[in-house]
Amino acid sequence: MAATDEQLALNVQQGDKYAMQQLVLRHADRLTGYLYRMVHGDRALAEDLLQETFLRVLRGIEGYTYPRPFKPWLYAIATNAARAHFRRADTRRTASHESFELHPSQTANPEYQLERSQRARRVTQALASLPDHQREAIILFYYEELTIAEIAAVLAIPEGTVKSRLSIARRRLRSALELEESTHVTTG
Amino acid sequence: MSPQDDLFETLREWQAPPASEAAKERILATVEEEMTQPGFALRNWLPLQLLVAQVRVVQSEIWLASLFVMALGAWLAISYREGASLVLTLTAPIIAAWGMALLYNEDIEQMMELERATPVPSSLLLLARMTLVFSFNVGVGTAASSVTQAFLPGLGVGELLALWLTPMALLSAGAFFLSVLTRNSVLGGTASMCIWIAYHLFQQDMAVITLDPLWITLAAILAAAALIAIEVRLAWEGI
Repeated sequence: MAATDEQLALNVQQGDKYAMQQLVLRHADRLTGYLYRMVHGDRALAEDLLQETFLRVLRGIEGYTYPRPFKPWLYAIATNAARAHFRRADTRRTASHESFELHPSQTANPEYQLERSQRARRVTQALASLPDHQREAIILFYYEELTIAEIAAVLAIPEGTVKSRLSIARRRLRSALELEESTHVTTG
Repeated sequence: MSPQDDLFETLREWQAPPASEAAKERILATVEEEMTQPGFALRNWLPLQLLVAQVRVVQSEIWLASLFVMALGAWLAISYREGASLVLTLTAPIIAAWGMALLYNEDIEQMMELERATPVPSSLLLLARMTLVFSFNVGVGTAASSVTQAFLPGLGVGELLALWLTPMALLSAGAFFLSVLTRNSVLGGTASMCIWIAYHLFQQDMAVITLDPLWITLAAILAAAALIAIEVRLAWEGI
């Protein structure tokens, strides 16, 4: 049976390089997706932050207490890395063009590609219209499929606050998506 | 609330790519390099990390006030040779007690709310903070005593240290205890200051500083340790 994340983290604390490699390989793809959405679709930046996240994990591994769930701890570090980037760079938070790129499997049909790209653009813009704290909650809930308790642990806020942020963000998103839909219809 | 609602499918229109193989290889290489560095184990030593992290959290006024008052105490002690021991014995415990009392205020409490969600228990953070400030005060007090002794050769450093070190521990613990219990830093600092000044005022001979066993024996250290243990317990419970 494969070791759990928590057991691997415990082994990393004891200097086990193989355990750290396992954690990187296990979480790199999902975490890239999370960071990619956090930085509005900039893949290169997401991968830089991914590296920074794992370095922070390594440097702060003694702060992990077994058997506390590892995943929220990891996502909390990734969230802080993304926030720190925005603070450092005072980056303009606009949607990247790369956000509308499609994967090879989706590019066979040009019409499908165009339609999918337009839908992705609407979603990206709607998400970008949210305040950061609401966007974080939405990404963790809908894309990373974390539970309310896990999101609370990641963002270091009470569960009730997570629920209220999600509730407000959902209303805003629906409104933004409907607005985009109607704009699309009238201008198209 | 479930992610499988009407927004779920809409949001899934925005696909995210996985990590590239190049990125994974780069991370694995970086991680490997980091873990083979000789200082890796020491850098990840939790107590050291905690202390370094708490340096940023403690208000800068506490460090500055300690430095200023200890320097003033040393200067007064050197200027007024007769009462050299009195000046340091009075100032060192008081400034330390104030520093410890100010460690716990409303801002710190809010910050600890956030920290409670981190992997490190808040009681450990509190202990790290207390250790930092107390060690700093002991260091500055020792330096002030050494400087004073250099100018007043008749006075031993050990003698000076003995006069203020144990009272400093007990008064600091007491001040911190009161500020945690009442959530009032000023009360903690003032009470400790009053106790210490009153103790000296009621001494029969102010020129010769003597301390009752209460202040210099193991009992004082044990009392300080007990107070600190209660404080940590109170902080753990989130009082």
